[in-house]
Amino acid sequence: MAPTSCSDLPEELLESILKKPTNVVNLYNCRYVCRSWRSVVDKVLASTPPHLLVYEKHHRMVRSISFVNVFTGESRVCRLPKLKNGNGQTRFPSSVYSWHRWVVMDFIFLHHRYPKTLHHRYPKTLHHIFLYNPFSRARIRLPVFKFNFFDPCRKRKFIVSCETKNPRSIGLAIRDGRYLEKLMFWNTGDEEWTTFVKEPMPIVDITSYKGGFCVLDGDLKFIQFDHEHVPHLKITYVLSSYYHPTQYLVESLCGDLLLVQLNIGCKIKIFKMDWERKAWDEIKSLGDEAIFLSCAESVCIRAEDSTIFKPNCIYFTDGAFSMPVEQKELGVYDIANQTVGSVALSIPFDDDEQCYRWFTT
Amino acid sequence: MSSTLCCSFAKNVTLRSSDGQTFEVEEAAAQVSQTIKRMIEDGCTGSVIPVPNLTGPVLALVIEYFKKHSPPSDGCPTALLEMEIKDWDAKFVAVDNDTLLDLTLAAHYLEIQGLLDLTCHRVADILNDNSVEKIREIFHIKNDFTPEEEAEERSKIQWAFE
Repeated sequence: MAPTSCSDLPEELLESILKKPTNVVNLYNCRYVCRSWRSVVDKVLASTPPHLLVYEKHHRMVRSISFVNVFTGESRVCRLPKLKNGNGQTRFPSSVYSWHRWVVMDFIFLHHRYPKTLHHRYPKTLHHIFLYNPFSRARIRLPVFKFNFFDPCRKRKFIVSCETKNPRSIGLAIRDGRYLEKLMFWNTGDEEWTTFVKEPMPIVDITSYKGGFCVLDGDLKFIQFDHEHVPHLKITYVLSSYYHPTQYLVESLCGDLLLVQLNIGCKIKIFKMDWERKAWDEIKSLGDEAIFLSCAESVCIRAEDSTIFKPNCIYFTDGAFSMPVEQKELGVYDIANQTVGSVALSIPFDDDEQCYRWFTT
Repeated sequence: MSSTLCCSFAKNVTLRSSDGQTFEVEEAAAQVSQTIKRMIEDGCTGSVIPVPNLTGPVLALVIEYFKKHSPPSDGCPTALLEMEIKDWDAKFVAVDNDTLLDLTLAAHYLEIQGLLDLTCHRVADILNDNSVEKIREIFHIKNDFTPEEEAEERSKIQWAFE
């Protein structure tokens, strides 16, 4: 019998093989087999559920992170690199965030230039930011910036934004709970960041959007920061006279800006931004997409024919939502039936940050 | 092997492989395959049913699977029987890689969902356990990346994972 040539393995067959329980690392491995496999793997990766990024700190530093598939409980550990500064000090990152296939590492060094006078009671801290691809180990170094306070207990989160077709400009927003602390952009070749938000500004949510940022501020006004015409307050539209503490901005896969709003009685409403009318239109369905909410940054994923998670559903953790869902459970809101269910979550609870970060493939 | 002796009253069909071997099998058993079921419903039973995508040895294996998985004529399957079938399935796909791939393709062409799930799981296990080179070897795949692309992919493949 002649050996089977599997390069002509039908595409839909390879796809159903790759959708069997496998982990993301092995999927990446299969990407490098040949061209046709690469395109099938990319298709499968696009519908892979996001992984939770979880870590523990030792001496205020993160040595390794875990990616947890919340549906299978399977997790992979990834060691992080150390950074040496000009004075010969070495550090592991103090915090880790995620951005698409990258992890964002924040290395903190104390800034010693200023004497410790009363005025400088709190030393300034220097933040070295690296984007790190755990699959390829590629690193991108971003310019250093200073912060006035060093408080490791802060629930600080970094949100990165970059137009994938034009990776010459990167935006970085720093959020601390209900405040936007900093918002800045960096263009390739620049020595420093250009900062647009310097003073803490109350916000409800912020998301990266087409290389810039969209913000829902404390007065529920909508603000867009677009790096091409910065600083630019594009739209200010008051959404509602009621205060909704749990509202999330998220970019859909086709590039629409969505607003997920929790109302009393576990009713979730979803709105889509109509850019021409500068208004939010309520939508009744997400089609074949599912939303994973997080107070770090929410993500949209194509669920289509996934057997693991369902389309037209919103997934959330108790940290992200005050819904009748127990700790260590992933809540799921079915939009069509308007029902709340849950998926048991077998992961260590992230006490330090009290917030889950989704790592998308 | 040209045909099997038939002594039951059940209706039989004849399947012919790509290399001309013919196999007689109970119609109910052959209907485990959705493709064959459709052909029978379309009235192909009068003559021999051609299975051009499968060679004789593979078709013989598939027919073994048909026989094990044909709906029992005397009522409901028991839990014991189900366990026995599960064991049998595990042994059935514990074959060399080429045979496994032939079976996977056969399950795909003949639309045998149970066998497809079984073989796809086994193939996925193989993908999980092997390096890129080994995967190409097992699947007889020609690497069609250019040397530059290959070098680029190489540099990407140093996993940070433990």
